Amino acid sequence: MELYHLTIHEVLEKIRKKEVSKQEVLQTTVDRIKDIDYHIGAYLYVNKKFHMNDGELSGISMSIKDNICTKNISTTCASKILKNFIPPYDATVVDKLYENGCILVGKTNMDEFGMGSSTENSSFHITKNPWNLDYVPGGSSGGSAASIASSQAYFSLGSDTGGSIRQPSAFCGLVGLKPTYGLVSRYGLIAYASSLDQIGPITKDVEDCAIVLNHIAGYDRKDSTSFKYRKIDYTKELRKDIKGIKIGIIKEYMNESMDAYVKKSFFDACKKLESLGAIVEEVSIPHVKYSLPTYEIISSSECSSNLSRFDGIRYGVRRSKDLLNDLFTSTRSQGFGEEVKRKILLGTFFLTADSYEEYYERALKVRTLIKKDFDEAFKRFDAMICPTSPTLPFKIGQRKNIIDKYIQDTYTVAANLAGIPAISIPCGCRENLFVGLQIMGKAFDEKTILNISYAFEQIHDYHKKRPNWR
Amino acid sequence: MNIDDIAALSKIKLSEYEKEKMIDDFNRTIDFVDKLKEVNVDKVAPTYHILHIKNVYREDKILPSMKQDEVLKNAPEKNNGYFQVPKMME
Repeated sequence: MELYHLTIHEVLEKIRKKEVSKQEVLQTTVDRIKDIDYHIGAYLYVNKKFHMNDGELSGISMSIKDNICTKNISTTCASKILKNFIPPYDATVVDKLYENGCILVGKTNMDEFGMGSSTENSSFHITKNPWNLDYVPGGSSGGSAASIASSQAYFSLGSDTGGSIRQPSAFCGLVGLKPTYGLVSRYGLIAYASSLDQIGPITKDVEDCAIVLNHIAGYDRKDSTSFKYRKIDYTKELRKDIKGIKIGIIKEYMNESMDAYVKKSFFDACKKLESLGAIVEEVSIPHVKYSLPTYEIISSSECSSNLSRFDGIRYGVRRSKDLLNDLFTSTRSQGFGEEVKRKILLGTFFLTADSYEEYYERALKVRTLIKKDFDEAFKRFDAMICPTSPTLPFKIGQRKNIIDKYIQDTYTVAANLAGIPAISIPCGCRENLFVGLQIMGKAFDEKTILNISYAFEQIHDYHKKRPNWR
Repeated sequence: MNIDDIAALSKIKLSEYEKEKMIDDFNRTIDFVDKLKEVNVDKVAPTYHILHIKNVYREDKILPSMKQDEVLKNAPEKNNGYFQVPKMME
């Protein structure tokens, strides 16, 4: 296999054995981007100046979603309003990865400000699914997923507000983890919905996911919502036997409309987990069927509040010079794309005095009920499973209807509402269209879902597949 | 609910066509989220935030912060160490 196709742990092994130099590893990624990104469009910015520290991940090239701040390197959120924004600081996660020797090769495309599930909402260009160029890579971290599926970096960091790491990972045949809320610092992540957003890794296999998580997890005084939790080595218990682990199939999700092949792949996966010794049973999370409307209200409301900072005063593109009010309105009207405007307006509506109680506060209460259901179920189960997306990847330009777009997030938003960790790993593939299996765990219990994922991965070969490019 | 009022509060001006589409999306979305009205939420406390972290304090010690020119680097207009804005009152 070509050097760029390898996983992080395989490359580190080769470097350790002196079979390849760190410089060669970097060069192979740089050349790869030059050769193929023209066809895929994973990157919004390709880095040219590299700096490599000595560290555990020294030599590993990474791509970073363009809503995570990188010092002196453009960070646009794929929005015209931040077209010229050059952050004067690094996000904590970026800082940590630099310190450990990772090299940033580029910033990846996304749905503007993270709002979307196909990366078609980028203000700059669309990204194609490396497995089939007629299809979307998913979103909003679609550029990140596409960059890894096409081996244009060894791992990527995405952000996940309602499925934005997991769904593109599922669509691109990769492993994507949304960690527990508070485990990974959000300092330097440009906020969309602060009580739901989390940064997490997108990788080629489960071991790589654990390696990256090891380096980004941890308390950060610059993020008041980051949590002081004991340090865990996530690679350590990957290989443990999963015999006796109790896994719940979320019953309510099985009633939702689901693609037939997704359903088949999912039930096959359940059987495989049983064959590995896990105890797989149905579990009821009664309020989970309300997660999509709850999510829509909370995410829009927080978005309208967070995005009020884009006013053309301190950063970003400024339009009009005359009156202050005019400056705000012109800047925002010309700077934001359609979906972002829709979310801001909706959120503004939900937060008006007349609707606050009826919508916003009610959604927060339903959120409490959803979280309670999960807490209750986790007393009897170690993990919950369901498909990552109810559909296979869809064709570019196919989803126009607003409700159709919501449906993408059916199975993913609950983990954000409850703040629990959730991972997507490949569990099916038909004609280069991948299906993801989502495994959700207890808060701060990433190690159990990684353990289950690893065991599942070993009896399949999805993680060894690479798209066939010339 | 009037879309023009909401747009004004959001400091966003919509074109007539945008407005048309927005009203359509709004109606569908409101229908969609109205499903929550069937849930009994009496005596349920709202969850604003999943971690119950309150008032995060730190020691009152001066730590390094960003330099003024770095903070101002991205400003569309600046003047003598300040962000420059249009005149606010006569």
